Amino acid sequence: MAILITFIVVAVLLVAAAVGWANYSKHRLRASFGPEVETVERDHESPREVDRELRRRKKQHDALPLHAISSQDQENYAAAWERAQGEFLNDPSLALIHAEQLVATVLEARGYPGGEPDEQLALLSVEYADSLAGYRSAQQVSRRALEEPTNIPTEELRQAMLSYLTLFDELLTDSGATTTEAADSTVDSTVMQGSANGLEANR
Amino acid sequence: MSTDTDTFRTDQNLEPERYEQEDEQYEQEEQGGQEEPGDETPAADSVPYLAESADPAEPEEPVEPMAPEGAAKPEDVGGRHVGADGGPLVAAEAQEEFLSRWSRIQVSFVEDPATAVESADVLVQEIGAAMLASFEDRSGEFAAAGRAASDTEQRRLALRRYHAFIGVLLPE
Repeated sequence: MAILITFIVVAVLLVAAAVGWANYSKHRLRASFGPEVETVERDHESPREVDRELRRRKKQHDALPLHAISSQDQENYAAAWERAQGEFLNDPSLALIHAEQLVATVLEARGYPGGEPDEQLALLSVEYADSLAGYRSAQQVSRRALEEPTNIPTEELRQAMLSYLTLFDELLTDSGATTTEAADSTVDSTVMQGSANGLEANR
Repeated sequence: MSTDTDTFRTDQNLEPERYEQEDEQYEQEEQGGQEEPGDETPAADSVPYLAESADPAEPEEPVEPMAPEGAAKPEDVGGRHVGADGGPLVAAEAQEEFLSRWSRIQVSFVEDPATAVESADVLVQEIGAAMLASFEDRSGEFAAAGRAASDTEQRRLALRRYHAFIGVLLPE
């Protein structure tokens, strides 16, 4: 009898621990995506699908051959950014378009695939969830700047410029090695190829 | 922006140099026609305006539009700083410093528009102060030279310095 009770207690404890661990890692995964979880929730009905999408993004992201920007390139990109930012005084819309192009260039230089914008945003949400809402709305302002450059308030253009700057700075100075744990062991080697020489802050 | 600045510099420099050159020719006559070793126009001593009339295509241009650095420096001739009269009000290094400060302000606008406007105001005030100080220095010098002039030729040379300075203040 005592053995049976012990067995049941142990089994209950094990199940509770497993459920607790599953909830904990789910919670951790969601926490790592920060404000992006809400964006994913808008496109997916059940919480399970949301979790599945977050896991998919993380797996795809961890498989990317991400790498740091060399310090020489960091300088060049930073100089190009200063030119774009200085342009704002005489032509805000044009400066914004140049800023967007520059961010796209740095994204590709880091190893993020170009092509599908939505998938790129999904992959970016793994590491840059906090800056992504700003990036997304800046891109909308950029699109409007292309279509109707004279109808956008200067302050809105400036805010978009700052959103690009936030992501630009992060992309430029991050080491490139993935900061999320539990990367699939099969992709570890490619992910870890990124050198760690991009850590110096440039602003 | 840089194009504008370059044009501005050229405008400023062309005119004063012409005065400067003529001045040198007069100085040479006064000192018995001594020829500078590097002088490109040997006939200039006997016919001061030959250099100009020899080039009818561009009568308004100075003989050496791109004069070497040395020509722009103030030359101490007879105790007077002849070359400085036609130089810009703000010295080259100071101008460079002002312009680089302006570039930083222009870039900073996106990050902090209010501070950029304030900094631009400070910068313009400082440029103005530098120009005013330089203006007062130079016009004071001219006034002193004018008072010291005791004959028509000296007054003529003093007046020429004023003319050169007006060329600096009101560049074409």
